Amino acid sequence: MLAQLPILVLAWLDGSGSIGEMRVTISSQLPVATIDSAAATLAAALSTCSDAVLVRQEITYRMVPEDGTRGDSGSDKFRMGVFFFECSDDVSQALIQVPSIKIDKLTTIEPGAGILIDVTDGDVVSFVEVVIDGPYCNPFAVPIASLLTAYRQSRV
Amino acid sequence: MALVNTPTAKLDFTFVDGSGSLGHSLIHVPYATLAAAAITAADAISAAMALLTDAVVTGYSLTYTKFDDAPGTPAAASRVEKKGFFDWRTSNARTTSFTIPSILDSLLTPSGKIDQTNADIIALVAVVTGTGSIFAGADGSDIVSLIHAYQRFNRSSKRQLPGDR
Repeated sequence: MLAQLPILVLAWLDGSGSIGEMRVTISSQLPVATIDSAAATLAAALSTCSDAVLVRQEITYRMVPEDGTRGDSGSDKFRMGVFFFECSDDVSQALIQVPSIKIDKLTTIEPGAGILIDVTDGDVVSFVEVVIDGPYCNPFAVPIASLLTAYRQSRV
Repeated sequence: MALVNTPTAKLDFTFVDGSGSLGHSLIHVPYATLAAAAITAADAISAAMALLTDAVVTGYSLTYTKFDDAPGTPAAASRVEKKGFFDWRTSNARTTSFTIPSILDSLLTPSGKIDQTNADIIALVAVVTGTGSIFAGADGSDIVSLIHAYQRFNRSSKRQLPGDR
């Protein structure tokens, strides 16, 4: 994958409740703190030029494919692999979904054949280890600790 | 009246299946995670997910968001469709642009041009083009000067139409 330059987005709220965005490219792959500091300076300058108010700031790093590609014939984004994890506080969960889960990652043993994901499969075990060992967390920043369950689901 | 960060930064992975349809997977990392570390983690989980799917991971974005938890009140007559359009020269002699939503009327000349002698505009240009500035065109060339600046109106999107119309 190729790294695009980071984008800074500043969103502004007007008197009718509508939001408009201003976007600007950042010159190199700078750290968030550096962009954040420059954004604050820019936002202060912009605020004197607009009668809308700043309500949101986003800093986005984007990776894009080097060439056009598609999934295998028969792959289907709605065939979702859903992985539920327990977080380190023992009370909250996190969900990670993998579109077009491979059929051969589903268990063939009843009950749950064709629905439950085979958590003894080597690739599944590796994925779960990556998730648990990495910096991943739920939306409230509680670290992911262990896998609770994993199954196939149709998600539109 | 100040921007506060969300608890996490978001990794949004894009998948494409055999029909060309796009799917997504959203994964969070703590907001304090450095971008370089988050990108390393994204590459690791992307590789692990690639072994589980027969779609293809075509890319991802990493977004750090802040929002104002007590925003000020915008001027009653302010409208984001009323843009201040700024056309900039970059260091490789190309151009780039951005717009300021709801540009102040007091910055405009009778023709709709933005008054480049106005102190606030001079200050903005200094922030965008000054030494150490990090703002650039899409190819990464530094923004070096302002070419044109004028008022321009955007068509209202459906969501921007009055709710009581």
